[in-house]
Amino acid sequence: MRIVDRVVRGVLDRATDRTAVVEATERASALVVLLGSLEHLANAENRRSGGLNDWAVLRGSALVRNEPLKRVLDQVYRPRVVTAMHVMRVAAALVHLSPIKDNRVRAAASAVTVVTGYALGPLHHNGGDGSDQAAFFTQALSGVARSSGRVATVDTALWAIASQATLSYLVSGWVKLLGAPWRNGSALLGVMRTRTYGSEVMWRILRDRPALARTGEVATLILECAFPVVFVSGPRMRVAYLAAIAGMHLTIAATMGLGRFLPAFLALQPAVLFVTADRTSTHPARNDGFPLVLGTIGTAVGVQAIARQVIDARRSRRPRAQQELVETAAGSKLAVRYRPAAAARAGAPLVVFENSLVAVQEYWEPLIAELGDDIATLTYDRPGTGASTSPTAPLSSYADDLRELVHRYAGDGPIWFIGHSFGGYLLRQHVTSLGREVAGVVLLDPTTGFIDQPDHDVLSAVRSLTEGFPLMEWSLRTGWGWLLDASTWAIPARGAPTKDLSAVYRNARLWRTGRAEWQAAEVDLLDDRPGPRFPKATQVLVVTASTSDELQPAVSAAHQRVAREHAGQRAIVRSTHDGLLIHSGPVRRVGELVRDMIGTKQ
Amino acid sequence: MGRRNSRGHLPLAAGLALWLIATVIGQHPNRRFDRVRQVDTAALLIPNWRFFAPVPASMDFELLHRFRVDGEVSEWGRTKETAARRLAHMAWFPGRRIDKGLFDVIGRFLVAAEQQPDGYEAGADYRALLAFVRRTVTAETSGRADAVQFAIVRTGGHDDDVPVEELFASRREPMTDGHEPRRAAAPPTASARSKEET
Repeated sequence: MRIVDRVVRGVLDRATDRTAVVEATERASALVVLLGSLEHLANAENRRSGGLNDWAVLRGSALVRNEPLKRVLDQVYRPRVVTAMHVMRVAAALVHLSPIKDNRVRAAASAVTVVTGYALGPLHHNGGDGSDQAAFFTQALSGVARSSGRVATVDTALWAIASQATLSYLVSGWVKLLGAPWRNGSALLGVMRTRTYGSEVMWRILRDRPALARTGEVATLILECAFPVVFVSGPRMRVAYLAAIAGMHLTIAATMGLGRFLPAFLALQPAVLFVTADRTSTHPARNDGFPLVLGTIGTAVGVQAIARQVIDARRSRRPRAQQELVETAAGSKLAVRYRPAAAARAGAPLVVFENSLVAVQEYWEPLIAELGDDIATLTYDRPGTGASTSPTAPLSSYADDLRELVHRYAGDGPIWFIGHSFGGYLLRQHVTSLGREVAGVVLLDPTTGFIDQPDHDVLSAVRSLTEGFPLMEWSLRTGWGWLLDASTWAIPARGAPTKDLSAVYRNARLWRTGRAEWQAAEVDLLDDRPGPRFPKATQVLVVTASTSDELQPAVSAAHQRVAREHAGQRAIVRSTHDGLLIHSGPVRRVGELVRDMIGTKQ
Repeated sequence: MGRRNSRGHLPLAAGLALWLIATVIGQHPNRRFDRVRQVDTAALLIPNWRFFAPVPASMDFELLHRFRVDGEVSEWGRTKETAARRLAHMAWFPGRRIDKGLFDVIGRFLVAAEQQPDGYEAGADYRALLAFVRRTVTAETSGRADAVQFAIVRTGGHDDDVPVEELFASRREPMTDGHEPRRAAAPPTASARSKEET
């Protein structure tokens, strides 16, 4: 015990000495830099033609978009320059590992490491990992501490390292808890069986001893999630906790081949010990201004996030371009866009479009353009989407809403319906209750039941489709909206301001509505029975996206069944599910199919 | 290292606080909220602490290829064998960067192929995989092959009881660029999400 006491005391004493703390940080992260650069030198072949980090190929990726920068990097990434930079990094690491004490020399070594590391980042993109990131900022911050020498600067740099350390464990632990494998005990065994990350020996041991696997998972989760206890525990407990964390990294290094992670994360521990020590035990007393600055700026960022959330929510509730708000008897206010046929000729067909789940009416724009202007079109957002008011009970009033819209806008001409995905499901439910003849229905990759070929994967997909929605709703209610990359969903607005559509997707209401709609339909979907849903005179076309046909045989079979039940047509279009509405090739093909049908009917 | 305090450190503290906040907001479990990472071209400034979370990898991607020599098409073979784990890997394991790199590229490519069923062959990830396969085939055949095809499968790694899942088969490709492929082959046959684990 005395030996342990002595070691603990020695660690705690050194943790109050700024110079010793910075030096320990430098040395451990220098080991990561040294190993990393030696690996890259050994992997030179990986940067030549046929390698995964061949710049000639990488420069065509989204990694670097700026053309002048690409031209600069063309010069920087010449093999000799790259080799020279790695040799410089090895030399800098050796300086840090050596007994050299001169602050300027050690600061210069850090500068070399940071500048070359950043310059080489895009070239080593494939195969880079968290240890590279950790070594980068520890080198940068220890360099800042060295170059300044001011107490406040050194302490600020060490506070920043300690904060990142805390964040790393907190995030890693708590985000794991959101994943089902970590909660149900299958995570560790799953990782260990992979060749990329795991170990055959460990996998066999854990497979035969499930209790050991679960113990390992729980221990990992506790160590990571509870890391902030080092800020409130006594010195001995603190050292013991960090020793346990080091043991975790050692185990990971030994079993998963992640050796660089051990020094990369050990490099963070001296700073943690420094900032958690008694403030007055350091000489001069530690400057603790950083947490205050962090709290102040964090609060300001939080306030602006909430403000932007409010602005986005307001924007999302405004009718978008050329939409009008139509009030229905069911009490809904629906954002509708009606376009009469160009010639306003009597008897022109009206095509009514039914959106998919969490989709907006703008998704129909490419197809409407493809169909031409000799037909009238009607698009709308269901209750709870965009400017349409929230539904009182999802699905129950939808048939009435649709009937009212049709009666309001339909003229003497035939009425056609086109529904995509979940919109196809809704049309199958509602078209019969419209109270008037329907010329035809086009179902684009529709959501259907799967009674023909029960498929475990598809059934679990039905049940899990909206699993991610609660996290989305929670995030969008707590100010994360401005960080949501809504550009994917704003595709229909390309070439025009995307702000309005992004705002819709940044409103939690959209996701809540989508989840409620899906839950209301789920029972029916899982119990879908064969049999026609449309009146006999209605023409039916079912379009299946090729990816659905190839990936989900049960879905494809259900589409075939629906077409057959109505003596309709079935077509497979080379496309993804959403591509049927947004990619030019598939949209053109769908447009042809629809025009053929409408033309036939006319 | 120990001169007296001053207020000169405040700009540094503010900058580091912003960097920490950027790190916090770059850790959302749903990667659609990763907007802040778009500014980090080198993927070094904003650490990613979501190690093996929320859903860890439990399957491997494997790259397979076959080639044609003198009109004869070979059997499918593994393009890159992953080294069996050894204790020495703790200290020295340069090959891990290649294994991890391949995992990264395949993961990204499968997502792209799923979103864009036509034209993905022009993307950097497809070209990187094709070049990787061509180099292997050139070495295997001493440069005698004139065409190559590659495939991506998902396996249970060391667990042979997990069925192998075919995810993608490329079209037939010539061994050098500049020749049009003579026949389109299979499209993507399954999808997978990219996971950056470490």
